[in-house]
Amino acid sequence: MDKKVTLITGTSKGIGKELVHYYVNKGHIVVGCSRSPIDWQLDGYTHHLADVSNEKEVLQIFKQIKKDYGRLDHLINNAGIASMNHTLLTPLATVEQILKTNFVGTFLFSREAAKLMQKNKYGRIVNFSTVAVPLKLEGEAIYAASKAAIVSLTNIMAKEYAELGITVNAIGPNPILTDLIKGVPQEKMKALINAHAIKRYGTFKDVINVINFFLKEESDFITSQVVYLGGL
Amino acid sequence: MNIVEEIIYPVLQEFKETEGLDIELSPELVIFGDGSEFDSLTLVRFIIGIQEQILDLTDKTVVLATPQAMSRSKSPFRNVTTLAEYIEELFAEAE
Repeated sequence: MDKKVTLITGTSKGIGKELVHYYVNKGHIVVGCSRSPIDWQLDGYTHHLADVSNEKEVLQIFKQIKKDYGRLDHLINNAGIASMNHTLLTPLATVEQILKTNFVGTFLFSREAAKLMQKNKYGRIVNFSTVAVPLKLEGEAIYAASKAAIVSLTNIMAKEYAELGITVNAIGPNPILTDLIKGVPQEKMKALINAHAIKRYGTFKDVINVINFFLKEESDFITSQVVYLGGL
Repeated sequence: MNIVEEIIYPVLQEFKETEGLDIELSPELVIFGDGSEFDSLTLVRFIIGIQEQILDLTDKTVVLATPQAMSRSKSPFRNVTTLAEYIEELFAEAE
């Protein structure tokens, strides 16, 4: 089988949905998941309903990938949630939900993906961090902490999986106009954009450009890297 | 089910062929510790292979490297026999 098999999490909308369309058009076999059903369909794309932090549901997705394709080439851990709030006002339930979706989900998918990828001694894992980590943004403590954990996970998995032919990298997008930031005041967004070397919102094209670089076969010497868009 | 013949040996055979491990399949074959031919990464991959073999044959998801297993004074991963006994134990617990 020549077609690359690409698994993307959090594909119901936003960047995840864009990534699905992009990689299907590029000729990949794309598998994805989200908690809620999708209202669109695409040839070459298979969707699973799953909570990324639910081990049983995650294992079921990998069981199906193994049965259908026998291998996995790429994993893009896109699924993520954010909640902006002062820590003094943040309920524990919010903390647990953010950590589960952002961190536990990335861990579970990466672990299972690496089990499949190591059979072919080839794989690319791309995780999602955020510029909120290096910028240490007030009001984003829990979100940033969950994404800082993803940086650590990326760095250590990169070492653990290196001998298996699997690279692990992360992208740290700057603000992109998606649902994730729709509740953030304009002034806050402006200040955030101004903290970057290149002062503009990110686009899907910017994200795809970095992911493509990480996924390339020639990028087999690129691992444990975190690329922050916009320059920090 | 014969755990040694149906679960452990097929995985060992695959590793012998694909990884070029210089091993003879026997109940006394050392997997972990002094005298083992497995380096740490091969051991990790072997454990994944065993878990997968169990899943394929029984449809059971088994986690072998639990903190409890790793802290036992006698490692269940010592050799083929101890590993088979440990898997049998996990099957019994799951019933």
